[in-house]
Amino acid sequence: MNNNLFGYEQDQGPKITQLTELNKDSSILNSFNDKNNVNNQSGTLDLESIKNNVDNGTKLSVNAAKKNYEEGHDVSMSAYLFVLLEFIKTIVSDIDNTNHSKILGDIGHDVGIRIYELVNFKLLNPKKSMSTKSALIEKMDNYKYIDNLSHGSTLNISQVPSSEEIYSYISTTTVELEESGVIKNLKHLSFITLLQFIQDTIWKYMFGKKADDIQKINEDDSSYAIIDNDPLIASLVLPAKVNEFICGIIKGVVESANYKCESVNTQILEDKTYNNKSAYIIKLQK
Amino acid sequence: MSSNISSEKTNESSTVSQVDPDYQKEIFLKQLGEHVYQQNMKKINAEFFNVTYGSFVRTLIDFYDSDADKCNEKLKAMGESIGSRLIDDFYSKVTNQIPRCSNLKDLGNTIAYVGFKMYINTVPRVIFDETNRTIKFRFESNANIFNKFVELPDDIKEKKLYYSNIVSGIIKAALAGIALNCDVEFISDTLLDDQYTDIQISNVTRIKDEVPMGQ
Amino acid sequence: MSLESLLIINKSGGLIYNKNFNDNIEKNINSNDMLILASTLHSAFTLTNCILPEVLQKYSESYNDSKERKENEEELDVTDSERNKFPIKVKYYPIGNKVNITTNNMIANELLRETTMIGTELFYNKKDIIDYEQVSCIRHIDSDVLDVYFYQSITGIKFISISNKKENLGVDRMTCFMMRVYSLFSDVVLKNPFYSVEMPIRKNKLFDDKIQMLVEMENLV
Repeated sequence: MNNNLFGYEQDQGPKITQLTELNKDSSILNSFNDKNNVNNQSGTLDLESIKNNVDNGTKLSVNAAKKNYEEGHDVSMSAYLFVLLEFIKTIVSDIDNTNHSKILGDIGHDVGIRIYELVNFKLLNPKKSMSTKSALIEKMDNYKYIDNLSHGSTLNISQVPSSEEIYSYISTTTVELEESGVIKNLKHLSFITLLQFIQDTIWKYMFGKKADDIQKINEDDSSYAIIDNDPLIASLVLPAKVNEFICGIIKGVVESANYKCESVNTQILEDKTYNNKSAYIIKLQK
Repeated sequence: MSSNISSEKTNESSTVSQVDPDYQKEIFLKQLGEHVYQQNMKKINAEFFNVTYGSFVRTLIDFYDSDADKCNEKLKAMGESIGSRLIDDFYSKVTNQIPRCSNLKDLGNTIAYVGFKMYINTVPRVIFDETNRTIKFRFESNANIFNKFVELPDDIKEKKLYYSNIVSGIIKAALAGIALNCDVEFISDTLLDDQYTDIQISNVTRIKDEVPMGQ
Repeated sequence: MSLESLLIINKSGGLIYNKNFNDNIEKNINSNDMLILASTLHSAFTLTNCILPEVLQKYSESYNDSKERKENEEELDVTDSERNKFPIKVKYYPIGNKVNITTNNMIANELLRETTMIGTELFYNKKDIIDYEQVSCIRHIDSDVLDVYFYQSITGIKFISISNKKENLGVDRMTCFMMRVYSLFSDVVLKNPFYSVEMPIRKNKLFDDKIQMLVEMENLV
């Protein structure tokens, strides 16, 4: 029997009766709690059951419901877009400066610096270890570190462990890090790993999904592009302005990882299926 | 065992009959808010939201040379611009499941449990003052989603900058969209070393002429 | 080919958006005529509210204003039998076309990709019941040649769709369609901070595309 069925210990809270209706109630609330379940069609909750639930409105369900009204870790994209676009409008229409894109870039730069610190902090202090120690070590052994990548246009990134794996590995093991070669990736000694970190971890942190592709633009390793087919916040209105803001974020991240970044530009690519396929082109200083 | 369950069931039903309809409506609103938020809204990281908002507000403060009054005014004006458009967004997303508000208390509950929940995924406590006819939304110390990570510098703190003043503008303009006139203002803010963040709605009146025919 | 055109009218009766799905309309009716049609329909909509039966008016007032409701509580006590005489309350069920659900969902995913909605409720014909209440006014005009359907949002934006008689679309289905248009409108148009409320929508390609996609999804064209 699960003691934490309704979010509190049985000894301290009221006694939980094992009625079938109440169990049903808890499954509903669990489906509320399960954030990964949002897109899962079969696990969705229909209004009928909510209404029934209200009709049965017992104190117990209220107590359990209160648990849901704590501070959340996500907000709606609607709110984000309203606020962001309103601020962009204010900057464009009120501030008497012709170089609006620079202001937006600077604001993005501030955001980028903070996000880099936040993500690093979170990865080094995970709330739960993802898997057991031995499994992690085994997994890391399977990866082979190849820094000299082939000079194709698209990088092959399947052989490199994701940053989350690296960090959880570090935090769960006391193995000498330098020997294992992991510390190299942590410091982003190669620019490719940083790019991958942005494409994967930072993008997931901000938008909940990976960016679709990384490309090398010229042979002398000075410019790269991150490509997003369907940029989450830059697809609805004013895509060009929002992209300038995102460029600022990328610049902030790159610079706070100790790389000298000359500029980050953006370009909307033509594509049949995606209206706003965007490329963020990072140019490094030589 | 079975008799035990059935006896408990009867107890259960007897308590159900005593539940106050207002109370039931409150629970319904809470669950509706949760439901709409989970089912209809795409989501984005809350911390990313905070950091973005903070950076823009900082730019605004720089632009107005740390003049807190002007910043408050500007934030409220921006909120009003958002609110006039947000009200349609709200109603199209709750898809007419929301019951009409029949009194002030309903209004407060609806804004808190559905409005705040739907957009910033936080639910404030609603304090309803019957004699003055005001509604207060109270966020406990760190629950206001805007305030996370933020600490105001001393000079701005003295001048009373309400950091998340955009919310008051949004509520005011959104209510104007459904023909309700009201004053919304910040009373206290945890960032100004107060115990709670309080937003107060007062003087709610109905603009009769602006009610669209048929509603 | 049953839907002919879609109009969106603001609070004060001005046409803010129209889209014709039949090329013949564009040849024969110019934009000025469209404006006149829109304001005529708006006035008709408003007038019907004034000539409604007394009981219905009382009911709708009590529905809206809490203060008055308390003061005149006895007067406003409308019995259930009286209510049932008039079509005040319409239980609304969105009509799911069972055959097309899978393909429709794919178009719906496409449709919702750039918006801020997941749209499980309104866009994927689920079993959820949407209670739809419009207190009074016109829902449907049935003429020999055309059908006109109305949907008014709480904020007073009116959506009107005009269809020919080739297919009987039904009030429920069209109301559902217009509710979907409403959510697209509020998402795609109203998110833009440079759009001022109640003004005409000009050259919004994304919105045009989405409407076209929605109409195709619902098999209305």
